[in-house]
Order: sequence, then structure tokens, then C-alpha cells
Amino acid sequence: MAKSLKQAQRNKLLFYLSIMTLPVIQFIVFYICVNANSLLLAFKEYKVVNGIIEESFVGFRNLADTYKAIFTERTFLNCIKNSLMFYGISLLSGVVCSLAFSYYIYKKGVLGGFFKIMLYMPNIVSVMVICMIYKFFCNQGFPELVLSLFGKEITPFATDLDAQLKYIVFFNFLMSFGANMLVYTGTMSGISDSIIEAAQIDGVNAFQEFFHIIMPSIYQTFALFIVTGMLNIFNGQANLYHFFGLECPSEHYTFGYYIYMKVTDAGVNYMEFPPLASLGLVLTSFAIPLIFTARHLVFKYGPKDE
Amino acid sequence: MKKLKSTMRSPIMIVIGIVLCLYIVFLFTLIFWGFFTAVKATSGTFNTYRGNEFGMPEGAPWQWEWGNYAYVMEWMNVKKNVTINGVRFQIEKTIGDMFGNTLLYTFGGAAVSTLVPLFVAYATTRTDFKFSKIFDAVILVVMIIPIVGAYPSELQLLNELGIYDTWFGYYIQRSHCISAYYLIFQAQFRAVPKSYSEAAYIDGAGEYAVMFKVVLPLVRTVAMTVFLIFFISIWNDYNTALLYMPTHPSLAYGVFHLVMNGNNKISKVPYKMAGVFMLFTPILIMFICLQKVLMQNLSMGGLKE
Repeated sequence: MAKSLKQAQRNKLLFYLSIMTLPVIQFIVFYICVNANSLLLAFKEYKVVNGIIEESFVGFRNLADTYKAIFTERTFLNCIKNSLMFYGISLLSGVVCSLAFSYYIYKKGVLGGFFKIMLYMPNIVSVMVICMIYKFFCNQGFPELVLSLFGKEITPFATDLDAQLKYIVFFNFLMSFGANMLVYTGTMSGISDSIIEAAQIDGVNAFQEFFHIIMPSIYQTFALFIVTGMLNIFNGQANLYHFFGLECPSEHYTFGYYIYMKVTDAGVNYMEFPPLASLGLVLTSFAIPLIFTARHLVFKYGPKDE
Repeated sequence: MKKLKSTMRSPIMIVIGIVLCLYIVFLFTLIFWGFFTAVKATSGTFNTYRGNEFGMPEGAPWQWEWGNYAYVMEWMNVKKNVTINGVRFQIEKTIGDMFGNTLLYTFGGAAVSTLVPLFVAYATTRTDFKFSKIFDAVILVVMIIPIVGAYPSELQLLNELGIYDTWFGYYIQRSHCISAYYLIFQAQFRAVPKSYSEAAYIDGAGEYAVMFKVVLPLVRTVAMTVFLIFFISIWNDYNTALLYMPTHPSLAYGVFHLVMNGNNKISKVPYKMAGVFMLFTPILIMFICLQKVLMQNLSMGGLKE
């Protein structure tokens, strides 16, 4: 009996190891080693000496250069401005508008089910595809349409930087609508019907119902999106790579696009890695305290679901 | 019910309804514009794209330029220089190669991305090893720590390990549990009563038999939904081919390459739109057919039973 118990326990352990070994090794290599290596890269420099790539440690030089560059170089100042702007847009669209639409769908508004599918469609079908159609549409179809309908000439996508930015902002605004909508409607549907009915008997209007019943009930989800969305300040590309590939004008750069573009442009070119790793480290040093402070604040001072 | 209707009649709900209608009109305009552009002629005086950028193609639908699709299929290739291990060489891939790669990316990638978190979630919830608690805590911490710009390090490591630009490297990269789906699978397994497994053990079933024959069938709907979501997202993904698999372009990469660079033979907008719709149409059809399954199983940022 004891022997068979021991055998069963050993079988269980073998079974457990057979499942867990690969993901644990994967995690060690692709998370721990990758990030440790990224940290080391930020302190290194690669040089070609007699046709051979040699590495050397340069202390804090890369980091000091990056910190200085972020607040002085035009490219990085553009990154700061645009990254914050696109975060603001995603906040307005992905949080505020998404909440309003989710409420409409939750209340089973006219065509609510259809809107739910259509809002979610770009996320499933491919933002990249929609983006490419949109780019050509703004370049040719839309100016043609406005000219034929109103006799007015408008600037196409490709010709003017300001117009380009407006088109990109509008696209990002539209594409963020559906991002969080499924989660919001899912959370709203968890609110007890009796609470809503009681409030309606008391004569609340849509505004009161939304702010006094719905919002406190879904606040945890709402706060989580605000906090996780902040990562977009540093990682978000604002679909710039879909629009331009490597050719984006520096006036539109975001941090996310800049790092991605540099890596895709360089390929496996070790010489380019230390400055990028250094930039990543500097941005992470901003992101961690910012996000954890925001998390603390939104959960501490938000409404409580009682 | 009367009160509920009065909420819907409030001005703010009417405004939201109108905004949503405008959004749908815009989305349909884009899709139809792209679709019609893809079947316009690129030369000649009749039915040409130039000068008719917004309007429909002229003539009956069977007279439209459906041949644009065949033409793009013939000429859509990826020709580029790649450097691996310091050696620079040129690759040229046809649409057939890209389609083959796409099948390997989508079916293999979606299977690995679904099965690894599924199996690990099973192991961490249906066994009582203490390591599972440590593993779960680490996964949760990792999911909330924001890390920016690890691409260079990742590329360097893949290169040093000799798995850069290999299928083995691609599948290993996808064999992780750092995703919301891992937590969703865990919730699913916790909802399955342990008595089901215990009854099977008493009948003499082994660990694998209990997992594959008793518990996994109970979560197969959710697992299939996750597989579909991964399948669609990998189908649309050109980043992997761009960054990690330069000699294995996918269809999505091919279309991206066509739109951004292309070659002289297919540089006109109708050809580019035809390429975009070749990528778009299968997934759109799939979404229309399966939207009920996808939407019904999706909730709370994930899935509900």
C-alpha cells in the first residue's frame, strides 16, 4: 500500500515535471536572461577591431548620454510630446468613449449587439489592414470625395506633416474605441439587476445611474485600464509602423516607434544594441515608479463598490 | 421596463447611438472603398482608378478587374537583403513560400500558444506541489512590471543561442505562460470538481489519462476560442517575420512589404488594395462565421464558461 502510494506520488511528480520543465526553462531564458542581458547591454559598447567585434564595459556613459539626450535632442523631445499626446488620445477614446459605448450596449440600446461586433472587429480582423486601407483612403479617396461633394480641396495624407498627424490622431482615436469595450460590458453585466431596478424605481436618469451605480461597480476594471494604459506612453507605437514602416518623419515619433524602428532597421547588429538597451532602461526607470504610483493612487482614492 | 426604456430615450444615449452609427458608416466606407479600389483597372481610359479614386468601378460586377488579384498573386514576392551571423545575402520568396510559412506560423504558433498555458494551468491547479504557488506569484509579478525596449537583448540572445531565424526558436519563444489566458485556464480548471479526477484515479486511470480524457474535454470550448484568437492574431502578424524570422516571410509580411515597397509591376494602388484584401478576406469571413463563438466566450477581459 505504502509502496503504491509512493509510486503514485512519483508518477505525479514525473507528470508535473514533464509539463513544467519547458515553460520554466523558457521563462528563465526569455524573461530573466533577456532582461538581465538588456541591463548589461546598457553598460556596454561594441567596436569592430581588425574585423572582429569586441565588447567593453563603459560604466554609466551610455545611461548618462541617454538621460541627456532625452531632454535635449529634438527627436526625443518629439517622442515625449507625441507619446504623451497619443496616451491622452487612448485615454479619451479607450477609456471615456469605450465606457460610454459599453454602457449603451449594456443597456441594450438600438442595434447594441451589432455595434458590439463592429467595435470589436478591427481588433480581431487586423488594425494593420484597416490602417493600410485608411492611409490610401486619406491620400486619394477622401480628398476626392470632399472635392466632389463640397467642391473643397483638402490636404491628402502624404503631402503635409500637420495634416498627416491629424489623420494619424483620428485613426488612433477610432481604433481605441473597441479595445476595452468587451471587458467593460462583461463587468457591467455582472451588476445585479435588482440594484438597477431599485434605482430606476427611485427615478434616476441615465447620468445618475452611470455615475452612482455603474462606475463604482466597475471601478476596479476602469482603474486597471488607466494604469496598464500608462505603459503605452513608453511602449505605444500609435500605429506609426503600420503607416510608414521605417520612413516615419521624426516629427511624429513616439518612444515605442523609435525603439522598434531602430531595431528593425539594424537587424542583428550588435553595434546598435547598447544605446537602445540604455534607452529602454532609462524609460523603464521612468515607467516603474510612474505606474506603481498611479496604481496606488487610483485604487486608494477611487470609489468603493459597496 | 418602462423605466428602462426612459433611460434609453435620454439625450446622452441618443448621442451615443448617433456617434456609434457614424463610426460604423466610417468603417464600412473604408472597407468598401478598399474593396472597390482593388477591382479597378490601372490603365486605359475606361474604368480606371486615376480620376475615380472614390467612385465605384464602372460596369457590371463581372466586368470589374478581378484579375488584379491573380496579377498580385503572380508578382507579390519578397526580395530583400538579410544579414545573419555577419553574412549578408539576398532572399527571394514567392507567395507560395509565404503561404506555406503562414500555415506554420498560424497553426503551429496558435497550438503552442494555447497548449502551453493550458497544460501548465492544469498542472498548477490540479496538483498540489508548492512550486506552483511560487510559479503563479512570479507570473503575476511579471505581468505587472513594465519593461521597455528589450528587443535588442532578445535578438542578441536568440542569435547567441543559434535559434535566430529558425522555426525551433519561433516555437520556443511562444511557449510561455505570461498571458491573461493562463489565468483564464486556471479559473476554468478550478471550476472542475476534483471528484471527477478522483473517480478516474480509483478506476485506475493514470495522470495523462485523467488530464486528456476527463478534465481537458470539459474546457475544450474555451481552449478552442483561445486557439482561434491566437490563430487570427498570428495570421495578421508581420512583426515576427520582420524581427525574428527574416528568411521566413509570412503573407502578412508580404502584404506589408507590398504596401511599403512592392515592386514596379504592382506599385499601383488597386494592386496594393488587392494584396491587402487577400490577407483581410479569409479572416473577415472567419470572423463573420465565428463571431458568436468568439464574442459569447469573451468576457471580463477573457472568457466565461
